[in-house]
Amino acid sequence: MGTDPTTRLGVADHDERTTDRTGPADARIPTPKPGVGMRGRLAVTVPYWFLAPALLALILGFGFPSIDVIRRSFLTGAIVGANHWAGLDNFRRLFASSEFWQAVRVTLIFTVGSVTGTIILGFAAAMLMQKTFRGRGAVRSILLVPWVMPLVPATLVWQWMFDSQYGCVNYLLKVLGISAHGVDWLNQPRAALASVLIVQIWRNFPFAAVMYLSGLQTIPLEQYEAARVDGANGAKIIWYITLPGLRQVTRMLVLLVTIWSFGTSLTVMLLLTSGGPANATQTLTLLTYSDAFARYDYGAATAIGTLVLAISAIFAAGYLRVARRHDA
Amino acid sequence: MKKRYRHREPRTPRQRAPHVPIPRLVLIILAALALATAAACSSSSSAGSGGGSSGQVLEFPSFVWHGTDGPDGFIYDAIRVAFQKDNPGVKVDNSLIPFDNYFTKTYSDMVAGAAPDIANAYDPQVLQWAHQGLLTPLNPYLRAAGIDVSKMLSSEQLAIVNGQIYGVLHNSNPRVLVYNSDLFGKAHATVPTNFDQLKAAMQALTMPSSRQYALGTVTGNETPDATYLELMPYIAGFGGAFVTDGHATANSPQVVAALDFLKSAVTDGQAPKGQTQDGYRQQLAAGKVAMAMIGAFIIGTVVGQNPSVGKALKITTLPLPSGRTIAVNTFLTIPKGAKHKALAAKFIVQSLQAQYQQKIAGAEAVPALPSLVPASVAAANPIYQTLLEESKHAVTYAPSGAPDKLAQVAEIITVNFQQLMTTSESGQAAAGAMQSQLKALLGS
Amino acid sequence: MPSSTAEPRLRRARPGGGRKRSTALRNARRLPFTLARALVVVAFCGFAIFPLYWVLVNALQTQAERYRYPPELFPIHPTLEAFRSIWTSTGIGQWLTNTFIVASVTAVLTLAMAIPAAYAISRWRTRGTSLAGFLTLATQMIPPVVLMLPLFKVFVSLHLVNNLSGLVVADLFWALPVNIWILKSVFDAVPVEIEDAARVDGCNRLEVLLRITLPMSKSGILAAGIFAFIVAWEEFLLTRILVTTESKWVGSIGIASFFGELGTNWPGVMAASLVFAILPIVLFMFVQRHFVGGFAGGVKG
Repeated sequence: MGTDPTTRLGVADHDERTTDRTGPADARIPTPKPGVGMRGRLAVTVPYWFLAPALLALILGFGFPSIDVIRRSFLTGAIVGANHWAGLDNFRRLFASSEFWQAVRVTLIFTVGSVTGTIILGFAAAMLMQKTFRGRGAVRSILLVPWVMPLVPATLVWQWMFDSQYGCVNYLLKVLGISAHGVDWLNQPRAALASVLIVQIWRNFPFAAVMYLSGLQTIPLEQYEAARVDGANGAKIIWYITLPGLRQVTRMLVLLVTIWSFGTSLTVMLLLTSGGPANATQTLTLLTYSDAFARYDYGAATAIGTLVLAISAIFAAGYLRVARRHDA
Repeated sequence: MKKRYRHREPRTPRQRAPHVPIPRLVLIILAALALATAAACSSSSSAGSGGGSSGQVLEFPSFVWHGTDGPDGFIYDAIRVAFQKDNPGVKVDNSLIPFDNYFTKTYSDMVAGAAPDIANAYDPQVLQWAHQGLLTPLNPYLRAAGIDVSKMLSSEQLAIVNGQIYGVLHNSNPRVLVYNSDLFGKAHATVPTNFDQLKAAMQALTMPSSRQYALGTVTGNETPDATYLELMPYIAGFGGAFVTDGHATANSPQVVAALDFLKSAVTDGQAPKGQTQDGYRQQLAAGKVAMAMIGAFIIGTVVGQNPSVGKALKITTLPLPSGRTIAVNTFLTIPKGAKHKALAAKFIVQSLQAQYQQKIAGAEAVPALPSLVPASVAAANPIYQTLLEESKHAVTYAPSGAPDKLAQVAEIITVNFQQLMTTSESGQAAAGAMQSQLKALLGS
Repeated sequence: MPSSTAEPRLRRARPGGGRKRSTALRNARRLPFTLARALVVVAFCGFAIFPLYWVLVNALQTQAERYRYPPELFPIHPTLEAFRSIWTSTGIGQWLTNTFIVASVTAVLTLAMAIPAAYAISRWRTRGTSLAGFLTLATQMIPPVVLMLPLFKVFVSLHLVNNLSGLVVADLFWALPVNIWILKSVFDAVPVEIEDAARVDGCNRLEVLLRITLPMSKSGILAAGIFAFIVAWEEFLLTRILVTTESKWVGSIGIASFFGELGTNWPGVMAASLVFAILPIVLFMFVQRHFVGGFAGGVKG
């Protein structure tokens, strides 16, 4: 985007910003907006009125529970009854448990895998859909089905499709001559990770395709024509024009898909592999779930939650800093 | 970079007076909010606990009210109807909670202060909930009703911690060998009564060409609770135990033998690999699996799903070396946060009446008070007789001496068992890994 | 930057602008529409839609046929038994109604709250709004599982348990943060000059939002609304512990109910899943024309 809203808003908002830092209730510094006067002081609070309903909801839904979770991670004992201060005990136990590190490993592989796969597949789909062709509307509708289909039924049917004895994936592999014996999708550690990734990528790539498709439309034609005049061929054009133009889309997608592989991955893994075989597909989220509801070890569950929150906060802050720098 | 938007005419706002009527969109939003509030008010008034002014409501939402999933539902319903008749003004809230959700939801409810009045619990839950202080001791109510738990099936002892009775046994399901007599007939195999005959039968009943397997059990991704439960009949049948009196005994020769048995069954194609609990049971119901070491309740389920296979299913005692088996028990408990404890206790006591105990006996399970089942009923139900006999040799599947650690034990066992099933590891190696991890957990 | 309403206008005027544009692109990128390309498109479509097809196939089978090998890719003896049984012996009509109410109200409420918030973050680049944007992001990265129990306690104390409004609130929590971010991108695409012009004319911020920005970002808002609808339609984690009585069941609980203690009615699960999946897909087909244009130019983070 060539325009920077910040500078666009110009002087008026610069004044608003100054007043903002001293607090909306602070009327000592009047806003010298021409012909605005009292409205100017109130105007400073406007963004907060706009934000208020959403922020209140988020504080209620995430803020208070998160504080409770963080608090719990320093306590010991079950979720009800007496809790004693445990300091960093829960965290110490966590770092000493190999299951935790296994879950970290799996989470990293899963996140990187799903981000990469989603972006590549989404980009490919967007490039295919760029041109107008007959039936494009229908194809677009079909491509969006994975995203719109409710996740629980989708995962259940994928689980059956991946069944090593009766599933149709292995059958198709056999029929197409790709693999005679099929793959033990859900019961070999690597294959299980692959199957979970396949389902997650299947689910997310339409969204990536949509975002890339509209991002493609914002790349000015003149750039393409200029490249053509310079004699560039298809691949060079993609590398030098298309991809850079999509940089911000990609950044946004990396962020969102990373978020989603933390959140929705629970349903997918719970239903597809239950974290098996031998914790090969157990991410941190799934570990938290089994800690809280199967082993009733709420201290461990909240410790993981706090850790994930801390790491994510750092990641998000980093992303925002990069995004802000690139916005100019 | 040229800005493409310059090629298009930006829309200019219409000139209008400073104070304008509220735009349509705002009206739509307000209408939606009003609708939401109306929906909220109307549904809040009809929701929640506590009955109307007329009487009390005994809250017993559970999966057991699912009448089509086995005979349990009909028995509970009979108790409910009789209970409501005997206690006018009392209604039993029999909301159905899907089994899949039940334990997560009930636990959340108990923790958040919205506990039901009665909760169903299996062995793991009654133990863990009791140890977390989530259940009410039932001693005073049972004493007042004249119930003597020492007369009950030995499984009841599981729910007694330090003399406090936390649950009343509803039914006990000892594991037996359930087999498909049709498949046995077609293969001209004899029903096994000892281990050698079992091995022979397994060989005869494995037909890869028609995708028929001899034995079904959990061999794939399944939750720790279910995996551990399905594994225990084999372990106990071979005479071993993962935990004995609080000590880890996972690498005893008996346990290794059991693990090796299962491993070779899968490797030789006699048992389908990668199966969940539901998976192998479905295959049993579809006539694809000839035998399973499971409770007899499955017969009723299969009859409902697939009558042709259902009527071919028979039971016999476990043909494993040691003659021992395990029993999976369901209990009725009263959460600590229950609002109508006395009423709940009344309901539970009602379920112990002879007529319901007999109904349970007729439903291929062992009731809490077998003494209330007359010989005539027993004679009419040969399955019940076998089950009653087996329950005498049944041990609990909770780790003896460390019952509150069942969840962690199950986790360790499951991870290593899945490793055994999916790699070329030997039973010995898996047992060794289990042993060292259990020792770390239990301290010895 | 092309505004989001300009894009559909362009596509509708396909004979003139569209052909010119695609010709230019074709020349510029030199990728002729070959058979290979068509095959790849077909492969993508197959990958996308096969699971839905398989749900249909499974729903038309009987329980025994499920274990047929080789699996029949086209049902040889399709039976509507599963569909018939779910309509007569389960409350699937009630589930669908409840789910639809919850999802619609959630979508509207989410938009009502996310639009102003996204507008604020987009238009006021202050420390306060940046912090708000950051917090919105941060909510997404704490595993919802861990939040479940403390959140549930809040719901219990607010009497939001076992009623549809509790479900709406829960779904609102899940849908709100991502919606704010999507809408922020959408609003970033709307040219500020127009808004400035309106403000000079004497509109206050709210009027600018409602009368200028919203009409120009209709598709994006629609997209965000659909997103919230879908989130609410399929929500599973909190729903399963919030609702008890059957009259309040939504689709995700209804499907879970087919998994019994002792066995699973698989054709029933698949039939119910198909019914449950069809509605958002059909809804989506109707609005997807606007959908792609919804992000046009606004995806720059």
